[in-house]
Amino acid sequence: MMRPRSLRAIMTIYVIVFLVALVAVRIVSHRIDSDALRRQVDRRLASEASAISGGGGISRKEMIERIEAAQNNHDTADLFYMLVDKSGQRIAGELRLKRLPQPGYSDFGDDAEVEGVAHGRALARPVGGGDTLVVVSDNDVIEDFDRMLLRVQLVGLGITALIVIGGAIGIMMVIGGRMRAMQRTVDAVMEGDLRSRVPLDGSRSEFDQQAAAFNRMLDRIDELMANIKHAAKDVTHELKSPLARLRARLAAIARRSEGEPIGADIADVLEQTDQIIDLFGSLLRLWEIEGGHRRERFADVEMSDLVRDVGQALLHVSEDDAHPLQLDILDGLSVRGDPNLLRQMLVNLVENAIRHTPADTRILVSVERRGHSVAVSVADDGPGIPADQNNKVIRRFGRLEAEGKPAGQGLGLTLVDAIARLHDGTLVLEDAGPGLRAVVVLPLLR
Amino acid sequence: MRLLVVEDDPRAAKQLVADLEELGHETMVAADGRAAIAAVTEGKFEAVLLDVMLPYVDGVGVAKLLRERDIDVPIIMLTALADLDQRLTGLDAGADDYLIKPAAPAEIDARLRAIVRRAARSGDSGIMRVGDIEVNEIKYRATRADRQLVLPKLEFQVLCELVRNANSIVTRQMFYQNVWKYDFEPATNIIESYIRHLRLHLNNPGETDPIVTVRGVGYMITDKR
Repeated sequence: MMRPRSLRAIMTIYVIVFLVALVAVRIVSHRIDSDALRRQVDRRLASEASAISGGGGISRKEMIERIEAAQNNHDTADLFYMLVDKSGQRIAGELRLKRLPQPGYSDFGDDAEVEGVAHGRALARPVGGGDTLVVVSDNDVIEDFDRMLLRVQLVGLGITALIVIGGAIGIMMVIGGRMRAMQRTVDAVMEGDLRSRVPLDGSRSEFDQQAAAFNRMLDRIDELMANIKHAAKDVTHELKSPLARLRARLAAIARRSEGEPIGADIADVLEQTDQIIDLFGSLLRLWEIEGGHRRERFADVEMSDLVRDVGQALLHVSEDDAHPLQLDILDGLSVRGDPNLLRQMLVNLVENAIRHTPADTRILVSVERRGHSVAVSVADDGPGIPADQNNKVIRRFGRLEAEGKPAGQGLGLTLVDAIARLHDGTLVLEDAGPGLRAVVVLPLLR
Repeated sequence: MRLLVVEDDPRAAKQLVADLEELGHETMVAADGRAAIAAVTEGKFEAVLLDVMLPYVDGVGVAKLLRERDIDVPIIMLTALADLDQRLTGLDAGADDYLIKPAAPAEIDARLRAIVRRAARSGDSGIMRVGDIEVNEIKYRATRADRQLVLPKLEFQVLCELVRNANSIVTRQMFYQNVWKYDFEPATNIIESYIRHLRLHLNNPGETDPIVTVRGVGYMITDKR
């Protein structure tokens, strides 16, 4: 079956169904009212007929007297009586009928030509001795009332229909208007205006909230696009120089005369190539993290266990490198996260401290609670970095030039920062006086 | 080893085949998923090197189909991206190991040997031997010449990894993946440090060092020294 999809189709169906139901209910209720009225008339006719005939067993004369009494009674002024014999001859009553009605109840209209009555209800009842008693009720008042009721109902129905149709059109216009506003924004974005946003009216209505959510999505897309643009630029820049060096190296090898040993040069070229491949690996990793897909695999991670594991893994290497490593761990602090990434984050931080400080620099890794957060910090008592350089080292490819130290990819702290942000946390570099302290603050679980 | 290389890029396939043949393997190339399934179903291969991005049926699909047909040939997936999802889907589909392209020939060779060995060994008691070294992985016990070795957990796991792959190379990546459970490569010489400490625990004065350093690739424990 076809399902209505457009707003107009849904609203039209709604209005039609509503009106049909309304009319049906009105018709049924009108029927019930008329039937009730008619039954009441019938009961009255029956009771009057019985009052006159006395349920049989009384004389014609007495019936004539009763008819005359009833005709003079004010309470029964809307009733007309007639008593006829078996030849159809009227014996008593003021009622004149062209034709005697069938025994039982019947309706009649103008065509019956009853004097003084346009519409009525008749009850003809045999009363013994071949005589028939006819009692007629004048229904003109009831008919009038019924007609008035119908008119009132029709007017009510019309007003209700107008309200419903008007409401439906109003809703359609409001929703349609909002959707068109969104459509215009989408069109603008598609045409390249990434700054275009859906206008908000500040009402905090559902529409406004939806529009705000839509705008947030556009903000995020804009941010990602900007990131990609910057990343592409940075990468191009970062790759140009190693590739140029590599090319120069290869050109030098090509110039060598035959027979000259080139083994060392080849090893060098291979190492440079590996560095470029590693750089790509790190970038892919960074983009994977920034993409946010890893969130789907988040689990509860006990930070103290994780830090102890990493400390264990790096214990030998830090000792061998004359960077004594110390752990100060508060137990029982968990976060929601990706254990692999959190491990990489910690390894990166500790390795940074090992690689970028002179020998005999001590490293302290600590886990502590700060309000509703877990703070994992890696501090060294080395020379530290100038405070105004903190942001630079976190930035992609941001490096501090230092004599005799490994250059690195300039992505270590960028990766740490990206992992922290993926976990709704932050990376802050502080002066450890002396030395540098890198603190990652992550939201505490529960 | 008789290997099936499934790779749709002819240049990459040619290079891979040349590298593998240089390492003494016999190779055949399938250029798409359908050809790979047909080749594995018909031929006898000791292992399959399976690229993820393939025409018709992708690598994950191939692995899944082979496993559904109860073909348990060892499979190593080659993925272009270090994407965690791709790695996990590959392993879920029935691959035994994964490598990120471009993978060094020595790395591929070491992985091949490791998984073929793993496939051949069944009903494991946890006891592994090489020369006079014996490790019981389940009971966390290691001896050399019946002398009890007291090893910290990570050193013990490093030794197990070496003994499990006795006489073939365990690459740095394999150590990180299997012992440290890292899906990244640290920048410092974590493994070198651990091997150095392991050697101190393993070798008494006068004993030969069973651990061979394979420069730029990894380490190997051997009884052929």
